[in-house]
Amino acid sequence: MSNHAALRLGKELSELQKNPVEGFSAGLVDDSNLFEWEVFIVGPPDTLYEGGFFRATLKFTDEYPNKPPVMHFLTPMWHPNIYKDGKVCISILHPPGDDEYGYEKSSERWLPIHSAESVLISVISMLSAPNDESPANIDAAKQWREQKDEYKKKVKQFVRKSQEEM
Amino acid sequence: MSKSNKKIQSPQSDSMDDTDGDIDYGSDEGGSDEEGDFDEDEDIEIEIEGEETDGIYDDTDLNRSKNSDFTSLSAEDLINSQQEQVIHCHEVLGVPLGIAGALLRAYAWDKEKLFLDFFDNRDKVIKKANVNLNDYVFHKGDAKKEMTCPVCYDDYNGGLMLSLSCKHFLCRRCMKDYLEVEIKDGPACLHAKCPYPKCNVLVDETLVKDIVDKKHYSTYSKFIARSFVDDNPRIKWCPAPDCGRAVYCPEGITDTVTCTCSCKFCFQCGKESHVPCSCSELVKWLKKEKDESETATWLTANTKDCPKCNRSIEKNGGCNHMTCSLCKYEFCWVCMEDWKDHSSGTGGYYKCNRYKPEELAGRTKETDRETARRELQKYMHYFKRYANHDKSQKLEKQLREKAQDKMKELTQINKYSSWVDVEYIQKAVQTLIDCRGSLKYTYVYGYYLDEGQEKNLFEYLQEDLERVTERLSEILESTPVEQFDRDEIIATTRSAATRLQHLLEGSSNGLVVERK
Repeated sequence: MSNHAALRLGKELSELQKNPVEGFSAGLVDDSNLFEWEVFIVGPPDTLYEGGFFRATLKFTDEYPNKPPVMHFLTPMWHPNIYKDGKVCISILHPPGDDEYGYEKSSERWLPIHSAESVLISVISMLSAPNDESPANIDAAKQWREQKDEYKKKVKQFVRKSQEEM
Repeated sequence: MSKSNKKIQSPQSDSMDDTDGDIDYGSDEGGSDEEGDFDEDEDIEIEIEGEETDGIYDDTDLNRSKNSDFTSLSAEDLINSQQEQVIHCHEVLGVPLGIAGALLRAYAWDKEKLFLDFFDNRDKVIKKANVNLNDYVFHKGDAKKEMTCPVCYDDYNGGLMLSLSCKHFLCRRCMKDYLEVEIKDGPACLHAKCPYPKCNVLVDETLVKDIVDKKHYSTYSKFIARSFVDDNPRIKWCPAPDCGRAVYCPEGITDTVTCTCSCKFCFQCGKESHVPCSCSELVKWLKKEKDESETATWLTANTKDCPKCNRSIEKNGGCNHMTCSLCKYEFCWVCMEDWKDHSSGTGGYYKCNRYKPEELAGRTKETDRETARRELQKYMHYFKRYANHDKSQKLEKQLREKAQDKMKELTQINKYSSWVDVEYIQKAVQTLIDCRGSLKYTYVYGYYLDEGQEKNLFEYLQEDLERVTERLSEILESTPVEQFDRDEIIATTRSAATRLQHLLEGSSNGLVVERK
């Protein structure tokens, strides 16, 4: 199966490099390893994250595409669905089957039809539309819910920092 | 059971791991090999004819024991019985086998309700189970066109692509990988759907069987069998470790059932048989036991000191008649008093089963602490005896194996005796274990029983049973085989069995009129 996974990852990557999708770019962390990607996400326009530039990794296993990759932001992020260590927690990245916490319908979860591209598109839309039902960063979720202004201010700080880091 | 005249037998050797629920669904596609073995038809029709499947059960000897109302089912029986239900449903409703299975699972194997609902509102039932009744085949793509598999991104001839009724095509290999990963992930694979986002078409068992390898299909069949038991209120797993059987019990009977492995358990709560106490009392008791365990630790410790020479003594048998190995003092393990006082001549061979609140009464002022202490003392009284019988029971269960040796030994000593002549030993040991098991729970029952005449009567029966049980335990444990008195053992066994019956009947019917 590992060969299967590598073949598909190679195809996905070359397709993304041939026909880039607006909003992100993808490459390999180490050219000899197809299972670890480095991606750059551009903060989507007309959102709090506009102008930001965020670096992240996608790690795949040899069970891909039957099992989802794991995504980590390397750039510090302030968002209800991103853990403080950068790990992204959204339903599309969760293995198929029933959700142990009962928050997600299985139709929203990972399926082999999904791809790195669909994950990144979901993450980009997640940036402007957090799901606060199952927060990864509880402080951020609370702030997003109760003190929107404070939240906006904090996100802007993080966006500025991301620009400085570049 | 759909066919009540059939019998179900439980082969001893089966466990869930070595059975393969192979059933022929009439699929033309036998292999689970890699891609390439398709025929040229556009759609693979999985037609299931009644005649094709009928033969499967003719050579399966499903037997039902006539004397008991419940039936013990081995892992193989479970798969057969489950498939029998699926086939019956397939025949009555006229739906394909794969769909019949999905419908039954959606209805927790309540066939009658499924039939009623199906004939009442077919569409609602189909929607509930997420199946497509009009299009249950799986499809192949157009052989004249190239198609790209959306999972591996490889191009294939359309004829090599597969889909469910939703026509969301995948190459055979990706479909196989997808299903095998789902199966590996656990029983939720029974609800696996088409791998397309938002597509709710349920993966049909026919497709699973056709496409995954034998090992995965066998796992899948086991999950179906498990769902057959787990979701079915009329079937319960036998709680004995490594048994793997389940017991079927027809509506109405919810009392103690006995599995082929000789494990007796309560059909209502699935725990070991706990008559005379009720399931709710048992739950309360077990919770209490957990809560009080710290206080009780010292009481349940395995050793006690000899009341005479203070030497630590470990109980190594089930009998309560102890003889200190150092000073030869004989005493009762429960009350630690001289065994001589326990003789039947003193009018209370086993007096120590009685808890006497009057000893603590007579005080006019009572603080909360005293009440609590009294409550704890009461609990400890019952718990000590409960734990003691529990321990004896465990030790006596080991006797079961020893009994076999003793029986062999006896037939060798006396060459005129046959196996039938020594079978009484086996019966005696089983009766002993049964009595011990019930005695254990009489203390739970007794603990929750209000003071009064009924309780007195109950304790009388309890004491009576305890006395005979101890006697039986002593004979079986400490008499050398060659000195076994057959008549005495048979008489004691019978006497114990009768007393057990009286106690159980008394506590469930007439003895206690009203219980809280």
